Amino acid sequence: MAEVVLEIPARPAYLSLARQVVAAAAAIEPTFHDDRIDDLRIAVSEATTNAIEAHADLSSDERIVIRCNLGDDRIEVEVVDVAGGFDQLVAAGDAAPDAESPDRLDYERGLGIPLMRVLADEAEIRSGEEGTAVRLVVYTPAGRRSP
Amino acid sequence: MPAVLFDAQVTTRDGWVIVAFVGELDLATAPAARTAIVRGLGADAANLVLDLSGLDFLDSLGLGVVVSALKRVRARGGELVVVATEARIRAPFEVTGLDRLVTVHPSVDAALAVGAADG
Repeated sequence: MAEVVLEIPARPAYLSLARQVVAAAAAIEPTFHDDRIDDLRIAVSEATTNAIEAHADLSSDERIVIRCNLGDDRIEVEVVDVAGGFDQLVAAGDAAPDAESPDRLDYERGLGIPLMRVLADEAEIRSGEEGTAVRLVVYTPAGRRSP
Repeated sequence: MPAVLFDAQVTTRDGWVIVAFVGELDLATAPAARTAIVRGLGADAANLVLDLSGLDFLDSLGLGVVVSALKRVRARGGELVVVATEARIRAPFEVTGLDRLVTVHPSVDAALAVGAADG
């Protein structure tokens, strides 16, 4: 596995850079279709947004580490922050009511984790006392056929 | 200075306010997008087209901007229609079911034709 590691300040202005680096890393493996790279770009943006906001809540200026592992059949991206656990984020996975619900308009947020879960082939959120690690996996078409 | 990642343009046509975004709509640029919508609608406009066809990227923060715009126009008895051409911009609406709350059209002309028929 080839590894690419990016460390960014926990600030919104660096989100775009995180997406660019991950998308560029995924493009090194030519078997990824563009639409899967788009899926990964959004999933990484969601995970990194949550990490940046967790830091903002704590006024912490620690950095966020984004680690891409390029395998033969997959790309794995881990977004790690040290902003303390965030139970509310894990709970937010099913926070937004159904689209038909009258309450839906009260939820401008809470769509990030569902989006991440749908767009990545695997999404795992581990939250501990030190911080949160989100692991995202997107398989190549070949990798997907033989799990 | 970083490159310009986001811009918003406001025009009006046939009684609709059209807010067109260019660039990337995320945590960093969502505040500017909200400001453009609020200013574009002004004190009393109620019918809004959000033209996302110039966006390269949109995530859940962008969806939040759309939901807040929807609330704003509905509170005024108005309509919101969204224009998006690229699959990468349309997909988040489809995946989250938001496309059942707001209709996504392939062009401003198509959006205005439907919006006018509904209104």
